Amino acid sequence: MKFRDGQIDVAIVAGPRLRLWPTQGVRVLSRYCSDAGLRVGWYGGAGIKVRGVLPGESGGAVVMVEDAQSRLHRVQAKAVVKISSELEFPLPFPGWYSPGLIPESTARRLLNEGSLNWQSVVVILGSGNRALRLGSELLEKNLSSRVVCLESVYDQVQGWEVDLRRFEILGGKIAFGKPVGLEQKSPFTWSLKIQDPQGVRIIDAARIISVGPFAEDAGYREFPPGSLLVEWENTEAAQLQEDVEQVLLDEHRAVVLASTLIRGLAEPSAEFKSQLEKQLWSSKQKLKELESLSARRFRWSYEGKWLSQASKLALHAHEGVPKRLEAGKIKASIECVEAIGCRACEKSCPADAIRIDRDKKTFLMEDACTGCGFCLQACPSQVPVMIEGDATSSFTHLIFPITEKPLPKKGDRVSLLSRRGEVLAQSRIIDLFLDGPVPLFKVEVPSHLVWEARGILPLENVGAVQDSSEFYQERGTRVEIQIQGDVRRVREGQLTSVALFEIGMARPNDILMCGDGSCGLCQIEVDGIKKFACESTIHQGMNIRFTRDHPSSSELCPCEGIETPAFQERISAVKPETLEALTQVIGVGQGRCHGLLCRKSWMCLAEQAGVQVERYHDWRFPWGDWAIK
Amino acid sequence: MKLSVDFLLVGTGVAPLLAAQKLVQRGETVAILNPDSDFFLENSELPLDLLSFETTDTDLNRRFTNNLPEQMYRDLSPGFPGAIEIAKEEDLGKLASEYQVESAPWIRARRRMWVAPASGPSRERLESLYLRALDLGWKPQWLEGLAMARRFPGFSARSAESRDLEGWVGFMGPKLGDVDVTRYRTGLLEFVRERLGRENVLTSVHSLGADGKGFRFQGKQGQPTGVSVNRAVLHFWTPRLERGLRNQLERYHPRSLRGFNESATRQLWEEWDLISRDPVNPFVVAHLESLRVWSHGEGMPPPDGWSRIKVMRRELSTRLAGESSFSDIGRLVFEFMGWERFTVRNMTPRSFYRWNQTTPIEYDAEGVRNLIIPACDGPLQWIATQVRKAIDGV
Repeated sequence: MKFRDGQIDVAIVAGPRLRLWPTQGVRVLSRYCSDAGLRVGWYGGAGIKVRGVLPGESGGAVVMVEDAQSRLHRVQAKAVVKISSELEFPLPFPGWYSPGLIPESTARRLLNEGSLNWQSVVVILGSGNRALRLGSELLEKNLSSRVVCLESVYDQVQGWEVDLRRFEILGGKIAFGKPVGLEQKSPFTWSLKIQDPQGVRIIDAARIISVGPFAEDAGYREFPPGSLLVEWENTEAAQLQEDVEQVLLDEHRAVVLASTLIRGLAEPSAEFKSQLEKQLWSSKQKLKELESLSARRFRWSYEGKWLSQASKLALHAHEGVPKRLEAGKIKASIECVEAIGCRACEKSCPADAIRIDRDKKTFLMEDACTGCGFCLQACPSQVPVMIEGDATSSFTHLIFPITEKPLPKKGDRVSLLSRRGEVLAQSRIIDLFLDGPVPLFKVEVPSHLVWEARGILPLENVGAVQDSSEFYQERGTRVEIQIQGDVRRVREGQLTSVALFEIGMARPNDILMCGDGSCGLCQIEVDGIKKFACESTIHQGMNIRFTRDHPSSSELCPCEGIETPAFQERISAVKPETLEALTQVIGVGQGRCHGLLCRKSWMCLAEQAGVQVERYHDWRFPWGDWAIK
Repeated sequence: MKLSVDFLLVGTGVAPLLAAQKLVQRGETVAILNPDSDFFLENSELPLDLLSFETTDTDLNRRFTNNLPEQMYRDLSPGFPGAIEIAKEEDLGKLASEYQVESAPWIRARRRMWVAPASGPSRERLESLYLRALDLGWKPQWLEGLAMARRFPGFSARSAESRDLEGWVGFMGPKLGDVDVTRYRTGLLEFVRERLGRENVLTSVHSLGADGKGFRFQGKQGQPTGVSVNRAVLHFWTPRLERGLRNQLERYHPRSLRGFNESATRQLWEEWDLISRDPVNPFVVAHLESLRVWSHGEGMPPPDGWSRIKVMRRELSTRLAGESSFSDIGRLVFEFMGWERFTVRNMTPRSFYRWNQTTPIEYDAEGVRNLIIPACDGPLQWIATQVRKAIDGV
C-alpha cells in the first residue's frame, strides 16, 4: 500500500454523493483562506476520494484521501470543512422504502440511461426549483404526459414564480398534501395516498421522485464549538442560473466561515483584516435578507382565467417589460418580476439591452433591443418572450424559443395558454426561424391576449405519447439473462440496477443507486459472486440472484428495522441529549447504508423531541469499498 | 439555585451511574455532574477484556477466570436495575424464551482464538501462551491451516486454496464473555434519572471546583450553581476527565499525582469497523498479533450472524490511522481473511489505562472531602468491580 503524509491548514472535503464539486461556497471559502495565507486543500471530485476524517483530541483532524492511483494520503489538517450532500427523503410514511419512491439522483440516472416507465403519471415530492425543473424536463421531453409536484404545506410552492410558470405552462400540476401511503399496484404502477384537508386522495403513478426540499437549508455547524471541525450541508447549486439565491447563500456563508477559520488559524495583515471585516459585515446583512427571501415569493393572481388588476399593474410597472410596443418592431419582454437576478439574460444579450441592478431588478433598454432572441434561449426558466407589433391591430405576434420535440410546423394549430397553463384561445404557428442562432417560432395572438398568453399547446398529438419511439430510442441489443431463475431480456451493457428498474424487478435496496458501492445496499450474486447491482453491467447469459432483500417498509431506518413509533418511544424513555447518544442507544443510522437513507428523517424527529442536533458530526467512513493493496 | 447532597459524583460514563445507584440504595442523597453533553460520549468502556497484558500465569489465570460469562454476570448484575441475559452458541437460532428480555444487556459467551504466523517470534509467543493455558487447565485446542482459519471471524473460504494458510497457526482458548456496553449504560441511566430526578443528573457542566461552602459549577446555559456537599465529592477517573483531575491533584495533592504517573500506563487503540459481505461467525473473538477481531452487534446474534466486524488494534505511537495501521488491516483482510476488498465504516481512537494502583486518592479541597476513584475505564466488568469496591469503602 502506497502511503503519503501531508500537512495543511484547512482541508475542504467532499462527502459522499455530491452532485457538484467544488461548489461555489467551496471556491469562495478557499479563496478567502488562501488570501489570508492559509494552506488550503480541496479533496473530492474525479479521481480523489475522501475516505474519512479522524478528529484529533486536541483539535484538528486527519483526513484520509485516496487518489486515482490508489495511493493513500494522510493529511493532517488544523481545520476541516466537510461538504455534505442534500440527499433527502420525506419523513417516513407506510411504503416509502420501496422501488416506487426514488431520490432525484436515481431518477436522473434512469433518465440518462434512457430508462422507460415514466408514463403516464409522475409524482414529484417537493416544489422547489429543482423539483419544478425536473417536472418541466419530463414534460418537455414528452417522457411523461402528466407530472404532479406535491407540496406538503398548503399554498406554499417553494420554487421561483418563473419556474412554476414554466412547469404549469408545460402542463404540470401542483398538488398540496402529505404522502401517507405507497403501494405497488402493478410492476410499473404505484398508488400514492395523499392526505389533504379534504381527506385522502390516491394518485396512480409510474414513479414517485423525492426531490424536496423537505426542511430548511441548514447551512454549516461547527462541533465541538471552537474545534474548527465543520460540517456544511451544501446546496450544491451549480451556477447562478440554477438557483441564484442558494449560490448567494453559499457565497456569504463561505465568507462568514472563512472569517472564523482565519481568526482561528492565521495572522493576516491589518489591511486584509479590515477588508475581511467589511466583507463579513456585508455578508451577514445579505444572509439575513436571503434567509427570509422565501417568505417574499411573487405570485400572479387571477380573476377567472385572466390576470387580476393588481398583477397587471405589477407586470406593466416592471422595468423588464417594454413600455412602448411599436408596429413592425420586435421587442423582448423580460417578465422576471421576482427579484432573481441570475443575469443569464443580461449576459446573453449582444446589444446590452438588458441590465440587472444590485437589487436584482431587471431593466430593458427598449431602444437597444434588436429582437435577436438570445435571451429567450438563455433563460433557464424560459421567461422572456418577444412581442412583435403594437397591439393596436386585431392580432399581434408572440415569439417563443423552440424547446419541444417534435419540432412544430408552420401552420400548426395551437392553443394559447395563460401563465398557469389554462387554455385562453386557439391560434396557429405562422413562422419558424430555424436558420438563426436561436431556433424560434412565431405565433399569432389576438391583441387583447398579448400580455396574457405565455405558452402554447399543440392541438395535434395532444395527450399521451402514443409510441414510445417518440421519446425513447433503445440503446444496445437485448440479451437473455436469468434473474432469480426467470429468463429476462434486457439491454446488454446496461447497469444491472437500471435493468432491474426497467423490467419492474427493482428492490427497495436499489433505490439509492450510488454507483460506487457507498451505500452497500444493492448487493446481488452474479454467477455466484457477490457484487453491487449499481456497479455491475449486463452481459449475455449472466445469472443474477438476490442475496439481500429488505422488504418494502414504513420503517424509519430500514437497514436496522427501526420504526418511527419505536424511535419516539425510546427517545422519551432514554431522553438522550445528543445525537451521538441517540445513535448508540437506538442504533438508528448504524446500518449498512450508514444513514444515507434515514439520517435527515431521524435528525428531524430527534430535533422535534428536543435533542440537540447541532451537537453532532458524522465523521464516519461511509465511502465505498477499499481495494487498496 | 443551591443543591444539597450527601455525595456529589463527577464523571462521564458508567462509573458515576453505578456509584449513584449503589449510594441511593444506601439511602444517601446524590447528584451527578457530567462535563460531557451526554453519558454516551465516554468511549473508554470496553465490552470485553482485550487480554493484552498477559505477564504471569497467575495474571492470565485470574483474567481468564474473571472473564468467564458466569463470573461476568456475577460482577455486572449487582446494582444493575433489570435483567442481564446470557447468550451461548448452542442457543443460536433458537427462539428466545418468553422470560428473556430482548432489550436487556446480553453477555455473549465467545471462544477466544489466538493466531500467529507459523514462524518467527510471534509463533514462539503463541506457543508459550498455549502451553501456559494448557498448564492452567484451560484445555486449549491447537489448530493449523484451513481448519484454524475457517473459525476466524470474517474468514472467506472462496480463494482459500490459493492462499498460504499453512503459514498460520493458532489455538482455540476458553469461552469468555463480552457484554453490551450501551444497553448496560442505558439501563442504568434510565433508572438513575428516574430515582434522582433530571435536576440531579446534569450534563454539559463546566468550571467545576471546590469553594469554601461546598462545590460550584456552571450549568448548560452558563448559570453558576453551588452544591452543598455533606460527605464527599467523588471523581471518577476516565481519560475524558484526565486533564481536570490532574489539575486538581497538582493543586491539592501533588504527591499522589506522581504515584499515579508511575502506576498507570495509557494505551491507545484504534477501533475499526469493517463490513463483511458474508455473515460472520459471532461466537469467536480472535487475537491476531496486535489485532482483536470479532463480529459486532448487540443482544443475541441473528441465526446467520452479524456482518459488522470490529477490529481493535493497539497503536504504540500516537499516530492514528498511519501506514502501519493500514498495513495491519490490509494484511488481515487480504492475506488472512481472503477478501477482495473491504469497507471501512468507521475508525475511532480509544484510549484507556492499565492500572496497577486502584486505591482511591483522598484529599481535602477547601474543607470538602474529595475522592478520586481510579480505574473507571477499560472492560465494563472491571469498572463495575472497581466502583463497587470504592463505594463500599466510602
